[in-house]
Amino acid sequence: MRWFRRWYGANPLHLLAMVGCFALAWYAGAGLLHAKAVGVVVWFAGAVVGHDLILMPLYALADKSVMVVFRHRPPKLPTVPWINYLRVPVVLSGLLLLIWFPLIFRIPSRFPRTTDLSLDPYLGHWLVVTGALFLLSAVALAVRFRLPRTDASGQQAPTHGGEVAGLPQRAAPGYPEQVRYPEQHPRYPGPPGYPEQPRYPGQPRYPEQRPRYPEQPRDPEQPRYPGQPQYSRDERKSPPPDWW
Amino acid sequence: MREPAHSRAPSLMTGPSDPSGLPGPFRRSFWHSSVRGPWLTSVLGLALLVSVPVMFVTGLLSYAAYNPGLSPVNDETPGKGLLGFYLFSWPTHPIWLYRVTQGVHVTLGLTLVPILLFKLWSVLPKLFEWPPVRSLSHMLERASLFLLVGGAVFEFVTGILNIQTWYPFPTSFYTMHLYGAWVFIAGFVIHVPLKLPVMTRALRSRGFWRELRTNLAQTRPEPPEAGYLAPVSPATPTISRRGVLAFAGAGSALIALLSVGQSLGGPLRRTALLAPHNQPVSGPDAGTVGDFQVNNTARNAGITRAETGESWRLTLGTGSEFGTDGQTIHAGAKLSRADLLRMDQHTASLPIACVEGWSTDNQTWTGVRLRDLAALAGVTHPSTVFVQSLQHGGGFGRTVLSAEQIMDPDSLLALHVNDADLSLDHGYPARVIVPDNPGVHNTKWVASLIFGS
Repeated sequence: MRWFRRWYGANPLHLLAMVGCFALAWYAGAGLLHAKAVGVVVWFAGAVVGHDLILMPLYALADKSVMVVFRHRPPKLPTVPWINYLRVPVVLSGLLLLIWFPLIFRIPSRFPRTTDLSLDPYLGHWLVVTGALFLLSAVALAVRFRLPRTDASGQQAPTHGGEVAGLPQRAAPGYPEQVRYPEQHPRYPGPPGYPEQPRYPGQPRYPEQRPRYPEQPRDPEQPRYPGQPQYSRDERKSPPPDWW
Repeated sequence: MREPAHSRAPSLMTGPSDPSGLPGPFRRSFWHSSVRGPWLTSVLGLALLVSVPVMFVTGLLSYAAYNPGLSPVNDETPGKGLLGFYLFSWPTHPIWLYRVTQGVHVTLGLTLVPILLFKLWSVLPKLFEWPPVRSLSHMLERASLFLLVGGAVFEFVTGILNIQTWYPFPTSFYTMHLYGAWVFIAGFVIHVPLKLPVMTRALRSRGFWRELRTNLAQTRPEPPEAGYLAPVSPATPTISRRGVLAFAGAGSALIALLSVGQSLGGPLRRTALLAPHNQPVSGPDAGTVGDFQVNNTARNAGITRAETGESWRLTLGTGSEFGTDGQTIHAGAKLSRADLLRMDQHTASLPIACVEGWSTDNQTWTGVRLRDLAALAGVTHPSTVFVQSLQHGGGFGRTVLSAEQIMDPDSLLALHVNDADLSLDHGYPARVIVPDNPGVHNTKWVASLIFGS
């Protein structure tokens, strides 16, 4: 049995199940391919490529672009996680477009003839729903602005320069260095009781797990977090170049 | 001289240095989202685990509802072979059965679109996992994922385009959607047992309710040890895990809200702002027959007033082996509409439900029972009836109904609906209406009824 595991990488039952799965897929796929092999294969592969390599990267790129465009304007940005007030209406409206684009763009040309119904209202309906989503989102954001922010325990959370705004921002010149998590803020009321997190080897995972005072001597060449970018305190004196 | 710190800052494409030295998305540290991780994937996976079987079963039921085993006339996918193993004679009661199963199939399917997309987003790093193949078993597993993901997207795309009556498919929708479903389910049945232990472990790693109480400020990435999906270099969270779930749920709710009206019918039909059958009927029938949709107008079927006027006759007859080479048909009596109106009239309250998911409330149909017509044709125990329409071309101009469907007291050759003569679009001079029958099998503009015994 050991040789089998070495050769195959899993137990024989795994292989048996796989063979069964591909047999079924083959049997069903034959029905598809029999109909029109090339067209069906193009559709099937197109489904994977269209989603994984086109739709998802486009979404990620759009999300990242918004972040990059806005990340260096902390003074003008609200201290609430505003990005989601943009994300939600955009994505929801996009979902509706993704599903109903044939109706919205009047593609099924025979529809009015076969059903005696009109294709005209759909573009308007979609625009109205999209407008309503953005309006709701704007109202929610405005309400959020006005409310004092409280944490889970009901205490009023400290306000920060923008780090809770949901953006991995860096401090602008002349502004105090931003902290990644509110508990790093000196005025933060204390650890709020996080779920237990395993540690990185040799280093506590979160700053609140480290002794606070006096501050531990830290090698400035070592990153604060493994795999995280490291910014020097000197940046405040020498602002980043224009391209950044 | 020491490099200034900011020039070492990560850019979109390079990111912080990584020991693997791989480019872009093939590197694990490329994926920064701090909410992505096994727990989130498992919650979304659990939602799909519950709903995919519902989709599959309602889909299989819809195929059975066409009674494809009864005659080649009814079978849109004659090459199904063993895949039709479960077929059974579709019942006529409860009368809302097909309306519910197909409404659930279509509306649930639409509702699952955001869940599926969020789930696929959450596992995207796995697509680029390096090395692409670790062992023979790993290779087979990845191939089965191609069936799973390809099949899922394929099924959603074909289904969603079909309900909008857009058919850019290389072959018939029925062929694509039915065989595609089996290819998908082959990938699904292997994926579930393989990932079930991973899912349970991930779900237990964080309490669900506790996660729902965790706000953005307290959101922490899952530890890298939790699995490949957990970020090794997380960015500051911009959304909490409960936020992601609410986001996906809001998408589902919005889509359902904007389309379910077409299946509920009545005054709620107008609430389906984005669904094909969301308008009251316009055209020549406007205001005469109530809230009552059609999918094949007389104009589209090429039906003229002349064919359906005084000269129209219903041919009764007997025959056998409909739709095969051995088909025999013996035409018998010819009845005019006046003859039919002189027969015993029966009234039944039945809905019309379409395979595209839309349906109508119960309508009041009046006409002659199919079993009375069978007796008139001289067949006391009919096994089937072959219904032929006047329509020229187009799909479903003919259909075969089962014995159970003929003998049901509510199965009619309808002449009136809602106390008015049938309109031309609704099948004047006579149409079949059978409880629980898919809309396309309630043949309009009936020309002949050939009973088999």
